Amino acid sequence: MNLSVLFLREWRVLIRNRAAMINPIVFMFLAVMLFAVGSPLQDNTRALYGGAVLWLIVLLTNMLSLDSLFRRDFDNGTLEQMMVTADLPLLAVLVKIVVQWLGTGFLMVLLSPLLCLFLGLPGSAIVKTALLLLAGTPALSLLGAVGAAMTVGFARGGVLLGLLVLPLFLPVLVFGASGVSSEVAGISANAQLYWLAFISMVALLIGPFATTAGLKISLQL
Amino acid sequence: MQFDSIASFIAMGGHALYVWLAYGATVSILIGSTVALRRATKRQMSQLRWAAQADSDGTHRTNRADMETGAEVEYGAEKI
Amino acid sequence: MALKQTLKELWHKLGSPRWFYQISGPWVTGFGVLALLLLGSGIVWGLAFAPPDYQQGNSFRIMYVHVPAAMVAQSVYISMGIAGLVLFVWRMKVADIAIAACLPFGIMLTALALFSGGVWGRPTWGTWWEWDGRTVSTLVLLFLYIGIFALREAILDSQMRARASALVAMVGTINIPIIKYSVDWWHTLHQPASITLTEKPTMPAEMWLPLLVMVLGMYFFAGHNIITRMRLEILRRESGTRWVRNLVLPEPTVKGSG
Repeated sequence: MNLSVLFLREWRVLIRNRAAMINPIVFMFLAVMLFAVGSPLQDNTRALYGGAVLWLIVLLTNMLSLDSLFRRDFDNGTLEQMMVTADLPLLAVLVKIVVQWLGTGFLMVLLSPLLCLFLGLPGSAIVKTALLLLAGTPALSLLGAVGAAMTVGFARGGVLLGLLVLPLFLPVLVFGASGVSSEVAGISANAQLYWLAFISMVALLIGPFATTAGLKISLQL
Repeated sequence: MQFDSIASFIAMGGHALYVWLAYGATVSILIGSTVALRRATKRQMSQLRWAAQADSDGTHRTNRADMETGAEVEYGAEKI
Repeated sequence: MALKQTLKELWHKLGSPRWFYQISGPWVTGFGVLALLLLGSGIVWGLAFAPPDYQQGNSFRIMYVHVPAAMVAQSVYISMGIAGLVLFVWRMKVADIAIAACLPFGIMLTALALFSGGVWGRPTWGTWWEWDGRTVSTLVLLFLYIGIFALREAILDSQMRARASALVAMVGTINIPIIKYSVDWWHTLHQPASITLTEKPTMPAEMWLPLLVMVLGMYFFAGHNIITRMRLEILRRESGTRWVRNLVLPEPTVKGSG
C-alpha cells in the first residue's frame, strides 16, 4: 500500500466521522467554561492558573479522543486486515497516529487563540502557547496510541486507558504549563519549548513501535 | 547509644509518634508480607499434595464424579 | 567457545519455570537470612546509635526506613521493565512470572514509601502531604504500577496478558527518566529553598552507614520476597505437571497395589 493512499483513507475516515473529531473539541471548550465558572472572579488568578488548566484540559481531551483511535477499525476487522497486509505495519500505524494528531493536537494549535482568550491569558502569550502546543501534543498522540492499542480489545477501556497513559503525559504537562505561565510572566519559554520538542522526539522513537506491538498483542497476531 | 534512658529512647526527642509510626508500618509490612507468603506457599503445597495423593491412590474417581456434576470444578481443571 | 556454549545452555534453562524453581530454593534462604541480618542491625543502628540531625532532631531517623523503600520500589519497576524486554524478545515464561511477582511487591513498597514520607513530612515540613518533587515521582511510580496491575486484571488470556504487561512495563521504564527529570525541574521552579530530605553531601559516615546497611537489606528482602512469590506462582501454574507431583510426594507410591 502506498503511503498517500493510506493517509487519504485515514483522512477521509476522520472527515466522515465528524463526531469523533468534533466531540472532543466541544468537550474541551465545555471544560474551559466549567473552569471559568468555577474559578474566583479576579482576572489575575485566572491568568495565573490559565496555563495549567489549558494543558490539563488538552491532556484529558486527547485521552478521550484516543479511545476511538483504533476502536472502529478493530470492531469491523479493518485493523486486522491492515496489520496483516500492509508492507510496513509500522508505517500504517504512524499514519493513523498522525491523522489522529491532526484531528486533536493540531486542531488545538489552531484554536489556541480562542483558548487563550477564554482562559484570560494575555494576547502576548498566544503565539508561544500555540508553539508549545505544536511541540507538545505530538507526544500525547504518540504515547497515548500505545495505551489505545493495549485497551482496544476491551469493551470499556476508557478508565484503564487513562490509568495507563496519564502518568506518561505528566512531563508534557510540566513543561507545557510552566511554559505558558513563564510566557505570561514575561519570561521567554524557549527552554520549555525545546523540552517539549525533545519529549515528542523520544515519543516518536518509541510510540509507533510500541503501538504496532500492542496492536499485534490485542489482535493476537 | 544516643539516648541515656529507655524513656528518652521511646520519646525520640518529642518525635515519638512519627518515628514509631514509620518504623512500625515498615516492620509490620515486611513481616506481614513474609508471613502471608509463607502461609500461601504452605497452603498451595498441601493442596498439591492432596491432589497428587488423590490421583495416585485412586480417590480421584470421586473427584471426577464431582466434575461431571459441578461445572465449576470442570472449568477450574481446564483453565491451565 | 565452551564458555559461550555453557552460557547459552544456562540462558535456555533459565527460561524453564521448573529449572528456576529447583535452583532458586537456596537463594530464598540466603537472601532471607541476609535481609534479616542487615535490616535488623540497620534498624537498631538507625534508631538508637546514629546521631540525631542538628536540624530535624530524631524525626530524621525515619530516613532509614523511607529511603530504602523508595529506592527499591523504583529499582523493582526498572527490573520489571527488563523482565518485560526478556519476555518480549525471548518469550521466556519465567519473565512473565517475574513481572507478576514484582507487581504486588512494588505496589506494597511504593505505598510504604509514600506513607513513611508523609509521616516524615509532618515534623519536617509541618504537613502530612507536600507536593515535593520526590513525592510526586513516587506517586507517579505507584500509578505506573497500578496501571500494569489493572491491565493484567483486565486480560483473561494468559499469553496476551504476559505480552501486554511486558510491553507496558518497557514503555514505562523508558519514560521513568523523563518523568523524574521533569518533576525535578518543576519542583526546583516552584520551591527554590526547602529542606532537602536526603543527599546532604556533608552527611557524616555514622549517619549514612546505617542507611547503606538498610538499603542493602531492603534489596535482599526484595530478592527474597519476589523469588518466593515467583516460586508460589510456578507451583500454581505447573500444578498439573509430573515434576510438581514428584515434588510434593517425595517417595513414589506404588500405583494400583491390589
